[in-house]
Amino acid sequence: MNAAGSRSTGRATVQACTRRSFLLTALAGVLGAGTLAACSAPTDTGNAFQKWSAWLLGNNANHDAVVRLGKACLQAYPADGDKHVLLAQIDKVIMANLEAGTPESASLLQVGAALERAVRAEYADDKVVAVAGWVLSATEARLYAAVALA
Amino acid sequence: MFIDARTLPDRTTIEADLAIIGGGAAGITLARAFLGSARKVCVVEAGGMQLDAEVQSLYRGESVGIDYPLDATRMRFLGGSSNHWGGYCRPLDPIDFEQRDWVPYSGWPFGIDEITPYYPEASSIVEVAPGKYADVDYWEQMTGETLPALASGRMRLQFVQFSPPTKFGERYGAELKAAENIQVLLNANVVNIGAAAEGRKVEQLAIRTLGGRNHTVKARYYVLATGGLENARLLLLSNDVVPAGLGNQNDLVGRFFMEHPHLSGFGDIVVGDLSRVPPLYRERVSAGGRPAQVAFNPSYAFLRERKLLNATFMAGFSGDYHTDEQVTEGQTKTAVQTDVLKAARRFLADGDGPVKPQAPTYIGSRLGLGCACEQVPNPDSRVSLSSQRDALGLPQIKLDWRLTEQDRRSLVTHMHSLALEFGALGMGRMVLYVEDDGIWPAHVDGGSHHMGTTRMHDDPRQGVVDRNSKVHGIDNLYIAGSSVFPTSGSANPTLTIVALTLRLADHLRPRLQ
Repeated sequence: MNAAGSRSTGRATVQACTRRSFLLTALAGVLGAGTLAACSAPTDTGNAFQKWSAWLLGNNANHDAVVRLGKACLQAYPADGDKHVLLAQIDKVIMANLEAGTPESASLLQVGAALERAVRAEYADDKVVAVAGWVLSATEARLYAAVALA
Repeated sequence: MFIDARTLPDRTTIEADLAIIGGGAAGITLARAFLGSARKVCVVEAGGMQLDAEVQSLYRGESVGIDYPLDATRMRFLGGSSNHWGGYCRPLDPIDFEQRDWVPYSGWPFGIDEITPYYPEASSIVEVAPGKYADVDYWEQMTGETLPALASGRMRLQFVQFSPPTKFGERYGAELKAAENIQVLLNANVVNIGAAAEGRKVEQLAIRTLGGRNHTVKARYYVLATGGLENARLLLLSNDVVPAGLGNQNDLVGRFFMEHPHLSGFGDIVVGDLSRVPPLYRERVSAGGRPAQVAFNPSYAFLRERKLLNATFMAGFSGDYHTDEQVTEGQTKTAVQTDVLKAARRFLADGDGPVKPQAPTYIGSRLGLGCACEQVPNPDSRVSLSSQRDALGLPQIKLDWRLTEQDRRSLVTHMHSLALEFGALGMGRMVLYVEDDGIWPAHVDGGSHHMGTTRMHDDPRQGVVDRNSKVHGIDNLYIAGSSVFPTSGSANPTLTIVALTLRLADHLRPRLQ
């Protein structure tokens, strides 16, 4: 039910990367067209990835389940399979939602709290994607997809 | 007093000040409003004191639109369809009364303020707490629960209260039976509403029993209260003076039939930690002996912004998940939902250990979802007369229930909103099983809510009854029940039917002096 997200045009105002990106599908119709190349350039996000993936996969989360869901995200939006772009976007979200510091300097819990804030806010703002009928926040889907690509 | 029409001598005439056709929620409410008065009231009920298959079969008919079980969605004995009522109570919303430019034919002749004074007494009649349908503080206090505010601005919390449910015949029958000024004529089928020449006044009701006896009821005023399907049918059948049927001079009787489209199984919400979801959000909670549950309704701002129709959603616990449920090759629904719970664990539960230490494999629960939606008033969605005849020799009802793309689009948007709210609160993730493909799912159903077929409007060219529920052009014929609703809202109609009937009683009282 892709249109569950794609027809929703209400409150999205923040990101301005690409209409085609599944991460921004919910914004279609609101934002100007762009391309993946217009996104922030990939950076060395290895440290941040270690941190947020450790957080994501903690608390009895299941790696295989995350990978399966990540693959479903990528299958639904095959144009968004560039790991570096995904990581950069995740980094940006963490940065924007950290109360202090950087993704590199923040603790695991701080990074987790930032992601949780971001994901809840994306639901509230209708920045979501549809994956096999599931309504997932854009960042949440990025996280699963990035783990699947790792 | 109760009288069985089958036992009366053939061609008996009963006279009253007020004749009420139909002994359901509306008819009994109206009769009770005159209990102990000097006015003589006759309630004409087609059934007896309990369900009878032969009598019930008179409700059969022809469904030519969306498949609709005409005899299973109403009941023909004292108490009417309250005999199978689910008891859901909530008033209509103020926006339901408005003329909305995106809803064709919308707008009541008055706002909710006209009915609000009657909701407390109506609540009392259906045995729920008056006036607490939107009061978050009240339900927090009564249940001791904290109810998190919704975050997206798209939806708001309302509170459905549950009547026992009140079966009007059982609950109020004894009162009517004991009343000296009220006669309840049982097993009395009205086969014609007899109008004087030119159709400006009703003179009598023709009654026929299944055994073939014919009687007459004469009154100063008549109120048709047989439900949203039969009200229209009886007016159309009464065509001896006005060929198109009484009140049908503008071809409106029977048109604009509305239901509340219900979809079950359209989606599920998986929840990682049930304690994050207040019980009121997912089950009936007793507060002071009165059960209630949260309904998720679209906010007025969102309805206006997106030009949508109203809707009501409710969630209900439907099972637990455990880690030993593996994703299989066939990927059953449960296995996939379990997988999502395992992946989204961080966002849906606190702590590092099992959510329930006493049940280490537990990883979450499933909430099933139900919805009831407003549909656009549509003149092509209609009741008419069939060529088939019933056991009384009368044309059966023919129903052509129709839904539109606007109705479907609205519902899909609200489903999406519900997913956003549960995600924003960190309570769960929602999956939708209906495709957004421009086609109504085949399993769309109704709620046994029959509305709109004698709609209310000040202009006779746009409505069958006026703002007082009087049939346009007929001096002494009124209609009670949800057939007068110009728009349906998404709240279950019984409470509003009772409230509107109390208002009608206030209107009739001075006229009957």
